[in-house]
Amino acid sequence: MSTSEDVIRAIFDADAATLVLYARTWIDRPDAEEAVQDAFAKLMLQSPAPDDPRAWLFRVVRNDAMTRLRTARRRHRLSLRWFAGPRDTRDEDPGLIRAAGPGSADAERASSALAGLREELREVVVLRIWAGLSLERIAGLLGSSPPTVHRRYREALSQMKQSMEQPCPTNP
Amino acid sequence: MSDQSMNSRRDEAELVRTLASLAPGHTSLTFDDVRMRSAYLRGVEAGARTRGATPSIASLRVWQSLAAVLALALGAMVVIGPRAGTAAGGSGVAARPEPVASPQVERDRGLILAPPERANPTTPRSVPARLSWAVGESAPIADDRPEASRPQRVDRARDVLMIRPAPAVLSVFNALAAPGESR
Repeated sequence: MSTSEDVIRAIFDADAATLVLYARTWIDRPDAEEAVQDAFAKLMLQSPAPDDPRAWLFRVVRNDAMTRLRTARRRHRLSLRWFAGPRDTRDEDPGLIRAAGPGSADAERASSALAGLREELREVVVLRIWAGLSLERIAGLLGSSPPTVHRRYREALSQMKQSMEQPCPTNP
Repeated sequence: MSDQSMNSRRDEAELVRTLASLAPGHTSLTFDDVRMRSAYLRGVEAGARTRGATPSIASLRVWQSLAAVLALALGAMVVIGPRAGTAAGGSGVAARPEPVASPQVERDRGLILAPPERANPTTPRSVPARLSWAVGESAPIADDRPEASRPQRVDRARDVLMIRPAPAVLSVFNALAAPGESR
């Protein structure tokens, strides 16, 4: 028995943007949207339905994004081996996060702070704050222990705080 | 807990509240895109199932190639046909063997010439059964037809069906059988 379309639509409305943000940890926005689209399409065909469709989606998107990242790096290595080092395919687009209400100063600072995090820190922050997953579920999703996830989370917040306290170069 | 640690926790909590008040960036992805992608994947799956039920073009081509190679190998190995005319000084071109008629009919047609050594009534029993009818004939039956129109004698005992390897194949076999001699 597969997941009903109504359930999938509800998950899509609630989590599609978060899933795209999560995939942008490794790949740029067009690829991230494609990965999320593929994950939802696979969920529609998945039979039997996964026990926890949300966790399943995050896992599938993560695997897909990492596969795309590896492919992109390999292609880049093959085509530009003699000209430059491996390209960093992480998404540096400042529009990672947007303000829910008026005022976008915090959103811009948070976007650049998030973009500056290492991958393993950044994904924990996205999963904890925007996906709302508990540290235990994040640990299960990443295949790590809860203490490791907790340590990464604290480290990520510390780095983001430092980054956001620095004066913004665009708004003196 | 020290003041510094408490301040750190307070700052952290404030940061979390700030971040939680923000939303992920815009995405142009819609649920219709997902539905279309799902339909496409469903079609791909159905196509894969259909292809799995019938032999693929590739496997058919493999079998065709094998059959062609086998046919070529057989063609090179075997020449099927009578050696008609070669024994009687003919051109050596293979000809279809004449249908075997009864001894009486062939005798009446004047086609049968008993071999001299077999004209003797004491011909041993080892004479092939197909020729045994000729035992006892003492002389060829006169044939007053012109020489050119007379049919040539066919030694049916040998010319019914001959299987002859092609010369190239024979040389390969000889080389394999006696590698020392072929050098």
